[in-house]
Amino acid sequence: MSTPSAYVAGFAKASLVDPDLAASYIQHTQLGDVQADALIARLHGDPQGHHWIKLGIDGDLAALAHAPSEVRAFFEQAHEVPGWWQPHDALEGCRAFHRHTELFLVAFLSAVLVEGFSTLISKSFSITGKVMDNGEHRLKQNLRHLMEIFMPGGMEPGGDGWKLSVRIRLVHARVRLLLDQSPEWDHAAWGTPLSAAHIAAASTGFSGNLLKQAEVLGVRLSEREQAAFMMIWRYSAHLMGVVPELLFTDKASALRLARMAALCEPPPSLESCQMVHSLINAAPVLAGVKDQKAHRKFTQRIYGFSRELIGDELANQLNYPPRAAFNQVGWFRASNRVDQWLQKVLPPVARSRHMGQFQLMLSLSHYDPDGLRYAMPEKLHAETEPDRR
Amino acid sequence: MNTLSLEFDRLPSQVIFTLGGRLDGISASTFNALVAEHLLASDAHVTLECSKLEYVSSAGLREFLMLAKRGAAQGSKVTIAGASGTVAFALELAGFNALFKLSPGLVKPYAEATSVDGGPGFRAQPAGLLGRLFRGTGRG
Repeated sequence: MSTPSAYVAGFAKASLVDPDLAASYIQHTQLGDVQADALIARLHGDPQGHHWIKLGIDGDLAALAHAPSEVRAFFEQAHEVPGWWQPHDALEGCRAFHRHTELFLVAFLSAVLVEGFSTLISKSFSITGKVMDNGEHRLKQNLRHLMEIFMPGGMEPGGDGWKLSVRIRLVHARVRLLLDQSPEWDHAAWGTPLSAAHIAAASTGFSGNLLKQAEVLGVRLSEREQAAFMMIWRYSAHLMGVVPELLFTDKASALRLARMAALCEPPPSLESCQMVHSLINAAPVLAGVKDQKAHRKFTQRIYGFSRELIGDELANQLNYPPRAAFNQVGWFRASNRVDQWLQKVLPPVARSRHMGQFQLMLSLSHYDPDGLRYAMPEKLHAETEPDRR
Repeated sequence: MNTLSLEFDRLPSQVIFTLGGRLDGISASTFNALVAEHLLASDAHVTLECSKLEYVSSAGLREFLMLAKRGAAQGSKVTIAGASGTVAFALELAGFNALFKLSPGLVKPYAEATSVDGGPGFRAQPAGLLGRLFRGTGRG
C-alpha cells in the first residue's frame, strides 16, 4: 500500500516519534470497516435493509435467523461483550461525567470537536454537507450520544448508549460507501473516506482529549473515575468499529494515538476551517441565543476559550480571531474550583447544580418524538436527503 | 430485550403509574402518551412506581422531568417510588432528588387493596408506604 499523498509529509514527521504507530495509522487511512461495510454493501438497495438493522440493534438476534449472513455476522459480533468491560466499574465514570457535565460540554464544543474537524475527516463531512447543513441538529445528535453512554446501564447491550454507538458505526459505513462511489472523493490523495484511522482518531478525541481539556477547565477525577470514564469510551469506540490495533486502553494510550494522528494528518484544509466556524456559530443557536449582539458575544467567547485550549498554532491555521488580552480559561478554572468547593461543603448546592446540568444536557440533546431511528442516509449530499430526523 | 410495561391506577385526585422493564429512547413516547391520556388537571398527586423498572435512559428521565414541570404548573406533587439499582443511580445523577420526592420503598401491590365504589379504575388506597406518601393530602 502506498501512502495517500496528503499524508506523506505528516508520516515522515510522525515516523521520527513512533515509527510503528505512525505506520499503523497510515495503513488504516486506507481501510474502512470490514464487517460494517460488508453489511451495508449487502443491504444496499434491499427494501428489507432497515428491518434487519432495526432487529439487530434492538437485540432480537433470533429474528435474524433468515437475515443475510453479513447482517448476522455483524450483529453477533456487536452483541459480544468484551472481557475488559466491567459494568459495575463503569458507574464511577457515569458519576464523574454527571458531576462535571457543563465543563465536559465546554471542552467538547470548544476543543474536542474543533481538533477533530481539523483532520482530513472534514473532507467527508464537507462533501456530504451533513454537518455544515443543519449543524445544530448534528451537534444535538452528538450530545445525545454523549449523554446516553454516560447513563447507568446505557452501555449494556440494548441500552440507548449501546444502540447509538452501533448506529453511528453503520451510518459511517453507509456514508463511506456513498463517498467511495463518488467522483468527488480523491482516493489517491486522501485514502479511504471515514477511514479506520479517522474513526480511531475521533475516538481518542472524545475520550482522552476530552478528559485532558476538561482538566484544563478545572475538572478533577480520581484514578478510578478516570479509568471508568475511559472504559466507557473504549467500549463505545469498540462498538463504533475502531479496530483493535488502534483501540486505546487508557487515557495515556488515547493521547499517544491522538498525538500521532495530529502529526500524520495534513494541516487543516479549507473544509476544516468551514466546519469549525460553522460549529462555533451553531453553538449560540443551540443555546437558544437569538439576539444578534448576544450571538456575537457568545461566539467571541467560544473563540477565546477554544484558542486557549487548542493552542495558537492550530487556532491561527483555522483563521481564528486574535487572542483576547484576558485569560478566559484561567478565570473560568478558578471560578469552577470555587464552585466545586461550594458544592462539597453545601450538598444542596451540589444537588441543584446536578439537576441544572442534567436539564441543560437534556435541552441540548436531540430527542425524536418517534423515538430512536435507524434509517441510513440514502443520498450522498445532505441537501438531497429526505428529512430523516 | 425487555420492553416497557405500563399500568395505571386512579384514586380520587391521585394517579399512580407503575413502570416495569425499560424506559428508553423507544418506549419513552409510549409513556408520554399514557400520561397525556390519563393525567388530569385535578390530580394533586402523581406517583411513578418504579420498583420493577430495570433501566431508564435520558429519554425516560426527560419524560419524568416534563411530568414534574406539568405537575408544578398545575400544583400537583410527583413522587418516584421504589426505584433501585441503575434506575435509582440515574435519578441521583440527574439531581432529581432536588425536584421529585424520591421514596425508596415499594408501593404495596394493589391486588391486596379492597375495592370500594369509585367508578371504573378506582382503587382503594392501600396501607403501608402509599399511605405515608399521601399523608396530609386528605387520604393518608
